[in-house]
Amino acid sequence: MQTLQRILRVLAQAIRKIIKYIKDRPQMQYILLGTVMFFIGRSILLGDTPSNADYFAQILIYTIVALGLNLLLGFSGLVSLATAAFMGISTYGMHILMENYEVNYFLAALIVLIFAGGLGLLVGVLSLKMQGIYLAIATLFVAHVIGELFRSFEAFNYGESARISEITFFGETSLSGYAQDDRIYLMGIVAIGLILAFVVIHNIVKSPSGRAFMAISRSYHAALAMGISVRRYRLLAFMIATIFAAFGGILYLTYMQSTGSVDRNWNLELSLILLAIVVVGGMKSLPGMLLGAAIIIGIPEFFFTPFEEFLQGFGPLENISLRGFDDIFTGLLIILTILFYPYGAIRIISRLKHTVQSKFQNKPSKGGDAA
Amino acid sequence: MSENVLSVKDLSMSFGGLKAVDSLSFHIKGKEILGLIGPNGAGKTTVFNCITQFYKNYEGIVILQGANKDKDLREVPVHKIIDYGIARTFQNLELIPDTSVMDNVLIGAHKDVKSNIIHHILQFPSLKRNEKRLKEKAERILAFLGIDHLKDAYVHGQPYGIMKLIEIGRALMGDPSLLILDEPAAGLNEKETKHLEGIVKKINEEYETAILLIEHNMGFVMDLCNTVIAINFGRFLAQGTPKEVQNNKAVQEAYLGEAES
Repeated sequence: MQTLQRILRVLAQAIRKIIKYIKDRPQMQYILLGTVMFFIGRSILLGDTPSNADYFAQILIYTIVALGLNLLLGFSGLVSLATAAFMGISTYGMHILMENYEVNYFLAALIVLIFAGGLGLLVGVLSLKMQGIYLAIATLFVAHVIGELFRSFEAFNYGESARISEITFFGETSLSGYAQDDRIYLMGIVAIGLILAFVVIHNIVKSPSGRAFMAISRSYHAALAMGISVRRYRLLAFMIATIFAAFGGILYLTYMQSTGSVDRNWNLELSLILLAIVVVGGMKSLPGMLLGAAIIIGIPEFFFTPFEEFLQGFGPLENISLRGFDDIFTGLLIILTILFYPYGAIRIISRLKHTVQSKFQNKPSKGGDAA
Repeated sequence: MSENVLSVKDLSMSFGGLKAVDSLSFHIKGKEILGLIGPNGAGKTTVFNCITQFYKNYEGIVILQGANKDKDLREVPVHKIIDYGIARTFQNLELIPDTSVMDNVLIGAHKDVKSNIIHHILQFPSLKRNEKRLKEKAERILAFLGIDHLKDAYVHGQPYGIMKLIEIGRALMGDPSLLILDEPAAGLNEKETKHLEGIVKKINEEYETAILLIEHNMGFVMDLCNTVIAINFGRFLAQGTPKEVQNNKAVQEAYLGEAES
């Protein structure tokens, strides 16, 4: 009996140590989060409706893009409506490089990311001259021009989606979206991308650069007086956001094995959805982006469809369709979030955590009295 | 008093034909506390903005006297001014409300951050050492200001007086040789003003910085300043010890005239 108690005590201590180790290292938390996401994705792929995994992968990919956009919107106080167009550039860019020029996957990804960085720098120049609504309109124009470019050239399949047959890694392992086992690997790649994105953004916002990004948006004059070049950090913010959008595009192409189409995927609606993810999830919160993406993408896809089927079970509602309601849902959510949770949905979770913690902290003191 | 730190010669600045500052000249000596007074709209803040290069299209010249050679500050971009030892606070608070007091103060040490964003993404070990050093410095400054217990608190929701101190702390992080304070006592109650007075005096003594300040609270100016310059409509009115300026006819007229209107 005593030995059992001792073992239990040692075990509890070990668990406490592990928890403390993870708590002290936020990067570890993100690795854990990414791993959990991979296993959720895996179980969806192995479950009854593997087609749902596409939506789950989209949630993870949009989280990555939203993380970059959050640096722009939440931290640096800038706005862009060209995010979806940048994702499109990266999927088509990968497609052209890999299919037409037979560039290896990693090299193609590197070229696309560098190109995106340069493009972000160019668009960032706009932010040096204008802000707020004017910047939004200017980036909207950029997105429109990019969309028209896609529609005009054969290399971009005139803006229609183009498939890639399979992705070859290191000249050996090739993964195809059609094979179930390969999809699990592809989900793993997306999850690794998610971890990478979280850790990079975390390292940025917790560093002197992160402070500088906040200073240029919240105390412009003080930032200048304290030696922060507003120009430099605005350009950097745009570069990083664009590189993250391109990274999301690369993962989209990798998982979906399709470039997506300009009209259905890389349109203004997606740019707005990404903004909604940042606002609903919680500006300046990193885990909030995952929560935001899960709410904005997940609820319409995973709950509206069963609800629709449920409603169709009633006689007079046979032909009802909830398609189109997801836009209303997103719009309502944004309004409700701004009204009641200006810090985003993540605030609900942190409040819950706070209540639970305070409840637990009361318990031992009571027990102590009894002893 | 030691030699000049900063000289302003024939400074003029106009906004759309209206002369906010009109051929103003003065010097700031090392370790001196110089007060710039004048009725509302006299052009005091404009003078500050010209010195710190927020405005570039002024006439005249602002010269920083260095140990080796003089520097015309017009050649210096606004975000490099702090590299020349000039730090300032703002009339309207310019803080980041949604982050900690510590982070706000650390902004003031941005010029000492030698690492770039690549170092930050890859978490170079030197970054950690550097951050630790800056944080210790910030803690010393916050303790000096008597607000070190607030270092992890958010700026948002702090009393106005505390926010004013945070701004001063941020400016001190840059080790300035000239500290420019724009209405430091505005909006403070009597007790806070007295506390601030002590702090400004201590900064002047312990950090050996010259201080240039604008203030409407005459008691504050009389207690602190070695020299006072009075201006009105951007033009020079009087210069001297606080007593002399207070008794100056032109200065009295300027203030009374304002009181009548």
